[in-house]
Amino acid sequence: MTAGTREEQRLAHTEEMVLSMGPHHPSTHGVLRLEVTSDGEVVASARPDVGYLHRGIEKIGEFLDYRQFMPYTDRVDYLCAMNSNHAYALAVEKLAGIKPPLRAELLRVLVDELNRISSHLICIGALAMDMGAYTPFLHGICHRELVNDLFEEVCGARLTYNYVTIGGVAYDIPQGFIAKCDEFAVYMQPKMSEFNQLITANSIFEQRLCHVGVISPEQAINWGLVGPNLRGSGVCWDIRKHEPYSVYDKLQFEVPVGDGGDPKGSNPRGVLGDSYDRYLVRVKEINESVKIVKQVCALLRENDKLPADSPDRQYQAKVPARLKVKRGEVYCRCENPRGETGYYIVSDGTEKPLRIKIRTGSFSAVNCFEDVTRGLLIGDVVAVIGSFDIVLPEVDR
Amino acid sequence: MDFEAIVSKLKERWPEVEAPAVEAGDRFVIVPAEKTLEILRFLKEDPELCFDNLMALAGADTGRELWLVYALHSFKQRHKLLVKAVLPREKPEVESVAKLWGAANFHEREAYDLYGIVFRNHPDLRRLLNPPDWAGWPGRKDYEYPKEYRGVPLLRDGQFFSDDIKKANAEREARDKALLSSAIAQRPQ
Amino acid sequence: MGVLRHSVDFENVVFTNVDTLLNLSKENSLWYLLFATACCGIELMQTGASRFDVDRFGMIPRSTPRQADLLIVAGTITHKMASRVKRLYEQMPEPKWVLSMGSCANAGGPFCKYSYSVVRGIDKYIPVDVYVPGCPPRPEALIEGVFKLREKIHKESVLRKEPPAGDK
Repeated sequence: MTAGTREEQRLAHTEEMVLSMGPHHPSTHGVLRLEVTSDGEVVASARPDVGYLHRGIEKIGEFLDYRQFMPYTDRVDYLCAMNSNHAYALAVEKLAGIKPPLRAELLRVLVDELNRISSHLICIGALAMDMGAYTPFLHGICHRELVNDLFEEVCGARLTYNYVTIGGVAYDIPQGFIAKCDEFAVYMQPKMSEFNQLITANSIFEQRLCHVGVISPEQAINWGLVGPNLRGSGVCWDIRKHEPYSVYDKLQFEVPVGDGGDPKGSNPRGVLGDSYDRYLVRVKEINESVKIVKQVCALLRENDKLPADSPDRQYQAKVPARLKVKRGEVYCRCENPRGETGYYIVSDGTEKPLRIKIRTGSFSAVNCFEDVTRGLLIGDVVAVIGSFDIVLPEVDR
Repeated sequence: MDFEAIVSKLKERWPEVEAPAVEAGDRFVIVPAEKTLEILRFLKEDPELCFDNLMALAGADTGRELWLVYALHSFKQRHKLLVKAVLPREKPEVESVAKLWGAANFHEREAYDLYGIVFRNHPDLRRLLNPPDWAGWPGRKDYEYPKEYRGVPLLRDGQFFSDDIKKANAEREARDKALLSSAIAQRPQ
Repeated sequence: MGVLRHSVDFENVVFTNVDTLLNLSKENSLWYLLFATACCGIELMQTGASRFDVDRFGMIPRSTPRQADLLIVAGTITHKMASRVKRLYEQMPEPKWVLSMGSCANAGGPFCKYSYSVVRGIDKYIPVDVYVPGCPPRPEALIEGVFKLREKIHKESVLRKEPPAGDK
């Protein structure tokens, strides 16, 4: 994008410079370092350098029991800790052949969806903050504090919950909790249209995100993108709908998909697979999660009417004190706010696993970063990082 | 297509592919390490199988050998498959699949970083998660934890790694036993 | 509290000593560096947001170390990252303080037993003034830690060798 005639360009004699963007930078979502080779503002290549938060969580799992590993799954992706716990519990239950009772499944889905709402609020708030708008972030945190209060009632913690256990959940919900969840759902329903009036319809915000970081559907599948990044490129794939686990097959909800460039869609001035599409998918998913919370509350009210010793009313299956899992391996995945989180667990017949591999959505997003940001401006690189919703502990583990 | 149909299709072209029975969990296919690239290319490009999504690529260390596991998934046909290659510990080398699936790039770098599996023809094979001057392959079972990194000790004063605790306990027990047996031997009869 | 040394019959005149004045101004305007690595970073952001609001104590976040007084080390520090933390600390101008937030920055946290790449406490690299325990610490706990730091700052003396007698 250098302007001017050839003579002016020859006299200007620009060179490429190598900048190190990160690991401490106000606009990166965690400790991500980018080696940016740029000619002025135009980026020739932005190579990600990760590993600044590599704690060896997968290796730690080989020293601990299956149950003792659960708090570490919280720390893998702390913004959606309930979903991470759930994914690990699903994998171990599949391998050990444990079936959690119905009430436990309902409670798991309830906290999953509440956590999805709070995680997406931080993501879109942080994206807006990176673009220079500070207020939407504060709005997002204000709603998120209500979810934190609900979680504190259920399990006592605000951020790293360790609530889902192998075979069920750790505690039953207190009296009056379902009414509070319903109240929160009613409160949250109009908030997204308020949010849209605040920032989504803003023309500067739209111009900064449209046509930036465009990923076609074939590229998205090849690069292994998952979750809202994949759906923002037009591929309709949601593990909750297409490979349902837990009680998702009994719930009604839609899967929002990006539709950039469609004059009748929600992104008429953009193109399919740009950052604005990915942002809009997350905003719409919050509304869908609110619908799911209402449905699950109704199902929980029905479940409350069962007698106290009925098997569907328990919140934890009977799991032996020393959980020995048969020899085998499993790859099981779950829909986190950041995409699919897959656990590949190899068991050698003892109480400790042989290998736990955690495959997360942000890992694929950082993988394709170099190809997506070629030729963009440095400000656009920040927009792409924000729209991918990268959380570095997921990448580094 | 279900697992048996996929395995029979593979066995038509490569009879050395095995699909052992399992006690629990998912079934998997074991392929020889030299033929991973051609088998995976067939799995991706065959119109009936069409595994266009590489879900995960993991290394594992069983203590005796190294495993390399590919978890594949197809959006069109909605089926999944686990493909495993068994590699020797001394020189684990295999062809890279980064040109089939772009997703494999970082996964293979991570497998190299943690297990030392070398991927031939990888566009950029270097350590991903650990610092570039880290020594050893941390994922392996026989990895010795370093005592310090660039002059800063790893543990705090008074902390032990669990192996050190076991060694210290074993030494204490042996010493106590020796003392006890010598005390018994010296007792006046 | 030591602010008012002599009471006078005027309403808007206060007598104090320069040390106390300096300390009061330092502790009531601690500008912290937005340094967040892991989970404690989210709690740090929520402490700065509207419900817990550290802005009422004069603390605003700064992105560059050159304009910050307080480095709140929030999150797990690995060996790869630790040299950068040291560089950030060295780039901060005096007077500067360090608050270690969370178990990971204090002593390695839940990773202290089996991890090979986690630094067992940031005080191996930089000097720490206040340690706030928790995993992650609640925003109220972080604010309590900041208050302890304010007490510590209040006892400092720049001009005299020892703090003036009669001061708390």
